[in-house]
Amino acid sequence: MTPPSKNAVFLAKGSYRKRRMRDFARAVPLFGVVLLLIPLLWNDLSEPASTSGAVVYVFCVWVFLIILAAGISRAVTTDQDKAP
Amino acid sequence: MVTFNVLIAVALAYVAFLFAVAFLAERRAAEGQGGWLHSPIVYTLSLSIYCTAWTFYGAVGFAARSGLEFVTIYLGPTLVMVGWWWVLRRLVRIGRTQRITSIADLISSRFGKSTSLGVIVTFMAVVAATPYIALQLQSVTLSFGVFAEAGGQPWGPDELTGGAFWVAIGLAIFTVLFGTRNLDANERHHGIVMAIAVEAAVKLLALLAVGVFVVWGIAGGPASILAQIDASPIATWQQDGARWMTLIFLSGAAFLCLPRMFQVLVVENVDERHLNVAGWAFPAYLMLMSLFVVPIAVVGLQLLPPQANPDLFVLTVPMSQGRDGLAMLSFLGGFSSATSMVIVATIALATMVSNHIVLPIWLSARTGAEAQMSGDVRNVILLSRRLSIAGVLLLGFLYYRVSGGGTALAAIGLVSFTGAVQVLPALIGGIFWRGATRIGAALGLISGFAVWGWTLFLPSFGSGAVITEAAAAFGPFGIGWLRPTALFGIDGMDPLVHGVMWSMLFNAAMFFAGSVFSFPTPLERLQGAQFVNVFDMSAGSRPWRTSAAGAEDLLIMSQRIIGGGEAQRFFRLAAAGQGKTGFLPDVTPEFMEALERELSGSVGAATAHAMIGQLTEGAGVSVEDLIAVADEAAQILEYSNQLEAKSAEQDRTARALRDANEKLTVLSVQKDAFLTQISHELRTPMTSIRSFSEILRDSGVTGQDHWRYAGIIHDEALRLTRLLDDLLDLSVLANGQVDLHMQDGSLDDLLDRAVDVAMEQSIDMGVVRKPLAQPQRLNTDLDRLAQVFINLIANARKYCDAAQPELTIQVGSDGAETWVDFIDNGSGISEANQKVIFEKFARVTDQSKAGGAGLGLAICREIMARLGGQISYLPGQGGAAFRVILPSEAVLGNP
Repeated sequence: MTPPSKNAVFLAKGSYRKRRMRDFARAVPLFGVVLLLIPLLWNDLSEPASTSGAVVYVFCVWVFLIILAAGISRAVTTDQDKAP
Repeated sequence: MVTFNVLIAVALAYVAFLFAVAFLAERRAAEGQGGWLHSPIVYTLSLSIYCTAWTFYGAVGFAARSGLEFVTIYLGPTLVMVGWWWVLRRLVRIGRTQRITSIADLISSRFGKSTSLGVIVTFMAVVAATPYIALQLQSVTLSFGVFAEAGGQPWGPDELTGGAFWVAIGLAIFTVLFGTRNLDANERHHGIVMAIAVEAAVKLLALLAVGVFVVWGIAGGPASILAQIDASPIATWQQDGARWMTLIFLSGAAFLCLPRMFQVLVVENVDERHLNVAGWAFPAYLMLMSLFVVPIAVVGLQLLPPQANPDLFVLTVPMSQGRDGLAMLSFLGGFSSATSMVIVATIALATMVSNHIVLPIWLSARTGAEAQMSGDVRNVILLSRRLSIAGVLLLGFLYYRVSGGGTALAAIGLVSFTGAVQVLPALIGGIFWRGATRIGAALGLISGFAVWGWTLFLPSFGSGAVITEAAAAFGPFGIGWLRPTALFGIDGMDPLVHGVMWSMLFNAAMFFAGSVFSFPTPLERLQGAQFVNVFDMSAGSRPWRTSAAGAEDLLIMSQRIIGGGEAQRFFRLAAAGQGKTGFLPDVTPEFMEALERELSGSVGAATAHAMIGQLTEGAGVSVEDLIAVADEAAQILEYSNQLEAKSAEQDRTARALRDANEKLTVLSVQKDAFLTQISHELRTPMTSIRSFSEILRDSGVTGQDHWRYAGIIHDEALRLTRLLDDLLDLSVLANGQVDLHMQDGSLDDLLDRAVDVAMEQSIDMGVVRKPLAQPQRLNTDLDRLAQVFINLIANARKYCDAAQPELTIQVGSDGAETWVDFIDNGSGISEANQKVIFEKFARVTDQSKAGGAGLGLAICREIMARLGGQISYLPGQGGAAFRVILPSEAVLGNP
């Protein structure tokens, strides 16, 4: 996202970790999309799935996403790339 | 049973409570101590206007009809929020750096501050939001109707319409009161944000309370509710995959594009770090809101008769169990959902309508030389916002009236979402792709909107209502592949999926093709670079080069838009930043850019740019400038920050030196002139004193002449003394040897006294007094202060060259400082002379009619400096104007 001229090629451990946490933050919604599309595979099961099972599954995914987002919210802050 | 009157009383009490909350929050914010107003929790709760009455009541109805599908409406926003690092962070940063006021402003600003794009987006937003506002009015009146029916007096259509009308009136009053009060130049509404945060808590609490009652009070625990779900009509999982994906996409996109969501997400955001918390807290809010929806739907289907409206289960299930208190809470929850959505939606739409439609028309209608008063544009904005708020609510009410309420309206929620989402390609393309152009954005928006109108919006009025039945079945003019539900002959799709897919495909394709094959204007390229590289472009490139516009013209224009006090403060700070005193900074490109940002926070980017453009007469950016800017940026990167700071420091010093040099040159010329003048002034009385005393000494003068000659000698001696007194006074003040006699007194009395002394009972000049509402008490050297006032009034009397001279004495205060302005209606003082009038020996006019030696203002300045205050020339007021800023420790406030 930032041009290479501004960023060093190799980073110290702390800033390296921060970069990877940002990658993780970017990946969370992608996990979410994949997990939330899984119920569509149940349409063609030999024995039809129940709504109650789907309710439990969807809310579990939901809570999982919230916990992931809350967990990394402290690790990524927008402060450090504020304008100098 | 709750009687209907009790319900009305509770609703009114709740509204009064909201008024109080909003009022207190506004007052706290105005006093600058509303720290808790800026907490991430309030931000998160304010996002909950996404959950409207359509979701509060409608989600249960949706679940009763199609099972778990309702949850997609919340899953889309959840994905957007947990993925805030992608889009929201960027949007919020752009919103803050560019002072964006609405989604129309964002699109217009990104594509070269285009007025026409602003109009297109505004028009689309109003069309898409009107049915949605109607839906909210319907839900509130229906919930009133439920209670009326339970009380034994069922409401007919007339009562329902009447109820909707009064709800619309009440909402208009609340929104006008708290949405258009802000007179400062940003679009934040603390009172409203606080009120909707409270409403968010109420609706969550209400839905959770009903849910807990249903699960533990009726069904007997989580296990048995799951069993009941399996026994209900919605037991089997048969989800249409296309609808599931489309709805998740649609709700996520609408979360970004709806004008009201953009308002709370971006415009009302006070701190970027709030996204950190909202990124997980808002999904949690949504999860809790939907947690009990399926249980309530299942229990409602089981308990209530089959003809009961599932959209009202949240209300009717507790009522059927005799839980009136719970029903009342649930009513307040629904009421909160509807009102908070309508309030924010109308504010967002009113801002867009006034900035992008009314203001451009108003400005182009009066390009003539009519009187341009300070704050006049501001007043037009406020008035047009108030009228737009009323207008938007009226449209919503009319739609409700015409559509006749009922089930047709309930289906419109998703149609309305799809309309709002047409902004998405231009929005996402605009912030991630520099190649996006204005032509592409306009083509995409218009084609997407057209497809949406044909496939979803017009059919939503019911078959045969707008599109004839023949056209619906066989296509317009018998063209089969244009059928509204089967474009290109592809039928059998769900109508919503069909509409969303084709409108987004057309929209995105036209946007892309239009962008690729058109060439952007320089301003578009500049804005594109600033938006796409918002995290890298700290220095930013400038949309203005050095121009011929005078600082005073810019000040006059700014005063019209953001009001006198705000504009003067901004100019004074800018001048101070350049190391200058007074109100007129140098017109540098940086200053022009900062000023344009400031103004666009108030009237939107397009209008602010156009207004400044009028003054600079096309001195905007050109391709050559862009290239120069790019070179400049590359060079700046090579220097360290320290060097930059140093060069800025040197720049300031050089500017100060240049100013000082100019002043010295002017003064040296004036000093020569003054020496001639003072020799002359001293010599004339000396000559007459000498000659008359010789006459008295040498010849025998008779009694009558004796008197006359002695009188002349006396008068001339007095003139000399006065001149010498002034010189002495000035040197004493300048050397700091003066004793101050501190006294208590009232500012108004002091001004009365000064006017009396300076006017000497004559009526050759009118004096208009504009005191503050509360009288101010002072503790300072009142005699010295009076001397300053007298001098200013006497100057106005002497120099004001109007046919009917008039002096306005205006006391002002902004809490921190109190000042007195003396403004006359003469021709004022030219910019060159403004710099020197406070210097000793300075005289603006050559006529010696004034009789003074050019020391008065110099003495005033010394006195104010001794007292700890300030005196300065106030440009841009029509005539000559001086501002005396009272020493802050001298002002005791009101008695």
